[in-house]
Amino acid sequence: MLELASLQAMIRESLLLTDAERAYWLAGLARMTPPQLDRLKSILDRARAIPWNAALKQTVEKIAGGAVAAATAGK
Amino acid sequence: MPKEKAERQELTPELRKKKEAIQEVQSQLGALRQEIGVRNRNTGKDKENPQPITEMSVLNELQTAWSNAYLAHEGADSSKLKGFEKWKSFEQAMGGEAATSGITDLLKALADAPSEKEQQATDAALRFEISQLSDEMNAGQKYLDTFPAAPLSERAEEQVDKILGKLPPEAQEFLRAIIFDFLASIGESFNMLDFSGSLRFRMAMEQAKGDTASLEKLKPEEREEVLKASVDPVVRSGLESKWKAEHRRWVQERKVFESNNPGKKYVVPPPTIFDVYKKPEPSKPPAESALAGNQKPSEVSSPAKDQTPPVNPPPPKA
Repeated sequence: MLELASLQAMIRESLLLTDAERAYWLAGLARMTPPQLDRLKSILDRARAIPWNAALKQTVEKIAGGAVAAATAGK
Repeated sequence: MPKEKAERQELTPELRKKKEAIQEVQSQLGALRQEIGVRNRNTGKDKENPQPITEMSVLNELQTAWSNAYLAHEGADSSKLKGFEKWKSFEQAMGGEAATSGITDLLKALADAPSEKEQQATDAALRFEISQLSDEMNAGQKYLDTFPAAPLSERAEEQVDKILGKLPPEAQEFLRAIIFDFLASIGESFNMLDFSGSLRFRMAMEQAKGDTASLEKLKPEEREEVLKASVDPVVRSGLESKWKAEHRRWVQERKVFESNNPGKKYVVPPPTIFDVYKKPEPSKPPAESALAGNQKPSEVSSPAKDQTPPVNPPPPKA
């Protein structure tokens, strides 16, 4: 049985989706059938494996880390 | 001693250090550029498409950004010193040297990527797939009507926007200039139409959003054939040029808007290939058009007159 929590995390982190789409899929999880949940997971898994997304995610995380450091240093 | 000169002298040791760091980055970028150039020549990519060597455009953008920052640093008049302060903010925000190595790593990852074409086609195909899943769940309600295709660069911009919101305004401004230029480069390559896979799926998605021309009206096997078929290379080449020109114009307009309206986001969506595609210039000479009577070119060339994009007939089965 697919864990909803892990699918929610995948939706939140996926660069395949916009913010609006993330909200849509998070809200829709509850009424999805198990096969549909599996399909969604499969799509998000494959999107995560695209090197472009991985590289961008890494860069965005680096910027986020820098932002936190800058904000902390500024206090 | 004038204040500006005093400031410049005060900064000299730091400036030297930064100059060395920037020269090192430029040297690495130069090596990468050369490597990509050699690889493209070997694969014949630049022979077919002298312009769209996308990694090169990314590198150019970044090198320009770095060079500008360096020149701003060197200059030391009051406005350029302000630029230098921004550069310092940028470095601090990005974690100093880690930023340089991080972006260099990213560039290397892009340069080493096995096939951009495949990645872009995969991304577009997955967005198409997720729209189909949603449509099956909501009969009658089209996913792409609510969530039109968002290129990778726009999706990444959304993430970057959230992060930038946490930074001081000066750092935000400078980061925007660099990151969004970078993302615009990615966006350009993402949408680049020399990738038939990307074009095919973008058109499929655009069609799926459309009216009677929707691919969804086709039988599954017909849809498969359309997806497999290549777009006419002549049409594609013309569309590429037009779309690229339109996209560059949009990038420039956005830059002007954002520099004139600090803190405001440019909301005009970037042009899609379909925007250009929907308004094709007549490709037939007048004499040929006359032969076809009053029919429009699309009606002459396409048996299904409501199926707007003209695609080649499916390739013969082996």
